[in-house]
Amino acid sequence: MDVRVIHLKRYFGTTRAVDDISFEFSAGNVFGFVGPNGAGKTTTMRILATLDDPTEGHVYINGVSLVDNPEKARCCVGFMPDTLPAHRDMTVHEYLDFFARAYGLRGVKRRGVVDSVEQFTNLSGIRDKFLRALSKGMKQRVSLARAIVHDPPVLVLDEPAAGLDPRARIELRELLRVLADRGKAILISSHILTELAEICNGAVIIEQGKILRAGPMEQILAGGSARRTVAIRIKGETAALHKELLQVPAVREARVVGEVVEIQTDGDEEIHCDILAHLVAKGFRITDFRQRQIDLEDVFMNVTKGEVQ
Amino acid sequence: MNRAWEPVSGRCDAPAAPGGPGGQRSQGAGFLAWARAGDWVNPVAVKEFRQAVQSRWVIGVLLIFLLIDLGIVGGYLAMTPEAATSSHGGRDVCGGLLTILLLTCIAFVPLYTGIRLSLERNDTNLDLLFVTTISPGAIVRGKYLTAMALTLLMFSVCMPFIALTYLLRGVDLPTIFFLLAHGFLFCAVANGLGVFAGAVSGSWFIRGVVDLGALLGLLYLAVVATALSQSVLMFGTGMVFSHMDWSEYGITLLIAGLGLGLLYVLSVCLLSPRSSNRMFVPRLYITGSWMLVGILMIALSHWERTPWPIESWVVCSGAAFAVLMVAALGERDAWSARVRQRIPRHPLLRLVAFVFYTGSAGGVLWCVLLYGITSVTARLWVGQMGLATTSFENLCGTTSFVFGYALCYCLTAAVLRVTVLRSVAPINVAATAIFVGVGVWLVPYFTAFLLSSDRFEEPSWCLLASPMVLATDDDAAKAAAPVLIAAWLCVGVWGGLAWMLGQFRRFTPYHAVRVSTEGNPTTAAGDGSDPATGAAP
Repeated sequence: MDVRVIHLKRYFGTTRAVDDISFEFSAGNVFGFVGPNGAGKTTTMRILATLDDPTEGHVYINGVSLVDNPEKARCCVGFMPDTLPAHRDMTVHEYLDFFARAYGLRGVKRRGVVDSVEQFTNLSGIRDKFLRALSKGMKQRVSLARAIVHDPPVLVLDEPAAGLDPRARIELRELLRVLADRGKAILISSHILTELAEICNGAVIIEQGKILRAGPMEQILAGGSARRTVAIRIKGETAALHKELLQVPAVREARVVGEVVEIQTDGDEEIHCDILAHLVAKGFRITDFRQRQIDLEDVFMNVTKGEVQ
Repeated sequence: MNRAWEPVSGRCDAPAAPGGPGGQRSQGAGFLAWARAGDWVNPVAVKEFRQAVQSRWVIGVLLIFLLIDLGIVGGYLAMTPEAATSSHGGRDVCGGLLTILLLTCIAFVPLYTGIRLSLERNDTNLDLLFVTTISPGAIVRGKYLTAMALTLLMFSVCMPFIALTYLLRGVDLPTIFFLLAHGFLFCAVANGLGVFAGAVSGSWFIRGVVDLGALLGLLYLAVVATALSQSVLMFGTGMVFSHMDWSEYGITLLIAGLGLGLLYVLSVCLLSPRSSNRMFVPRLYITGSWMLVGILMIALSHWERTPWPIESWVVCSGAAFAVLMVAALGERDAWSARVRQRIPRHPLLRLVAFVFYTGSAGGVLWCVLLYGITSVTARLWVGQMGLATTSFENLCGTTSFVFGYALCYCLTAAVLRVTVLRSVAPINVAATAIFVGVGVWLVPYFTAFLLSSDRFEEPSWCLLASPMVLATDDDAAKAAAPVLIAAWLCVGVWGGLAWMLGQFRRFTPYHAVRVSTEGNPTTAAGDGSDPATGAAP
């Protein structure tokens, strides 16, 4: 099962909500969809869920076009929107049962599936509560349960972790890992980038409807910035170390942060080894020399400008 | 969270929750059979029934309705000393009960159904109905079924009280059954109208116009249903049956049935994806209905040797196709790959498909063709049968004038579309035609009224650009109207030709899209057009 987004465009009048984006992800992968507010994430996800039509471009799920055959593609996609279910006069169980019926599940199978999804998402205890009476976190779970009730091979989750408490977030992460292990292709948008980085194999960074970075996570992190940050701690005066480091040609920037001197270099680990050897040769007694890992948050801050249309 | 979830096989590793469907397997065979039958009921209907029985709004209305019925019967019995001996007590109470029943069913149930569907079509709630594999037809049927079940519930609440009126004398059982059956038919049409209005989406203007039309339709149905029930109660079914024109009655029922079917296909069309060939089925249905009614009217005219059935056919067709023509302007003017894949390759079939498929220029052409055929057939038939009268000529002429004006407004909107309104959404072209029609009627009229020294003089010449000129007494202005329409049509057709031909050029078959495993999708036959919009390279 693979999902391919090809030259997708969605315009609202003069606003280019999605402006010619292309990316793909496949079964067993969790793909992060990252961008500032108004970047076009929800619009893209709504198109993937067949709730909106693109102005131009195509989305294929296993070769089936969402534009040409939205009805056929719907059985392959489970969509969790950023708006939560708040329908009147409906309990959690009735809500899930309706979707199971709507996806064509019948009889014992339907009852079994609804029960097991309720168990899976910890909804069994509140199955007879009305949707309107639920907290935001509980509604998120109902929404997720709804998205997986027909066991779709592709899951499109729009901000699933928003409003969840820490325990529920960890549980959600676990759940997504289980789903990915079962061969689901998952596209997930979130503003909590540290969590995304932990579970995603790949990511798309989008701003003003355009893709800024896309690909496997290693590639994104590697391409985030050419500069590396190294934190150095010594036994003794940091001022002397700072002065010495500023004279090393490979060091682009050096600053004292408490008892640590942080330097930025353009080079790779070879250069770091040379710097370390140089400092030892100069007689500095180094207690800690650590390269700081670049994470998704750094890449995001580096590549986006925070502009909205 | 429990990792034991196995949705594909439907296996549930965890014990089923007590009281839930999974835990009800130990119950009797009757329950199981009932549950199995319930599996095949429309999912939307199941959801709606569940919501309706839990809705305070529905329960509140039912209770109020019950109290009003109790009040009418109890009040009559308690406050009318001659209740036991009166020969018309049953008729009076039955009239009151029926009026309350019809007003409640025709006002409340369609409004409740329409508002619920409209809320579910709202952007924030779209997930409820529109991400599943359930078809638009099933959604409409589910909503309609629930509305009819609610109506039946209302009727069943009222039934014991109406049965009591039989004991009070003044009304017979056939009359009661006749009125209940007809009341139910009126409610069926009202519910169809409610579902249709709820299915409309788009701008507030379009929804406002449709909702206003639906409300007026409900008001009309309520007034006619109540008036019919009162007159039948007054004279009794014996009198009604002995004086009834059964052919008229049959045609009225047929037209009501066809109208209900039309509301169904239009509601399905409104809920279908935008990329689909939405208007194809409604156009086929309307063409079929138009032909059926036309044949019946011609047969009736031949049988009764009178032109009135033909007159009715011409007037109704003219009004319907004028409205449909304005609505057609709001359809798409570029086709999705999904529609283009179904366009026939044969030039003649392609032309037929252009007229019947979704598309604004094709829609306008379809309306003009059908109205043209209606008008020519009517004149030929009436002339052939020697039934032509001045009244027939006037009626046909007036209808053609009104249709001609509508066509002028549509062509003007089409010309504006290709000149100054290139970037607006297609739906706004229909709104432009309405604004043109209202503008050329009201602006000159009020300008002339304000500038005129004699406020009592009718400014008939200022109404020349609208069909209202036909309602004035100024014969000179009336005589000038055909000249104006002819000139306007010539200019409109000339200007709109680019619009229509442009669409016909874009209405070309699309070669199947093949997705390569590595690169971007390519068109098999390589026509070079854009796969999503169908735009030429």
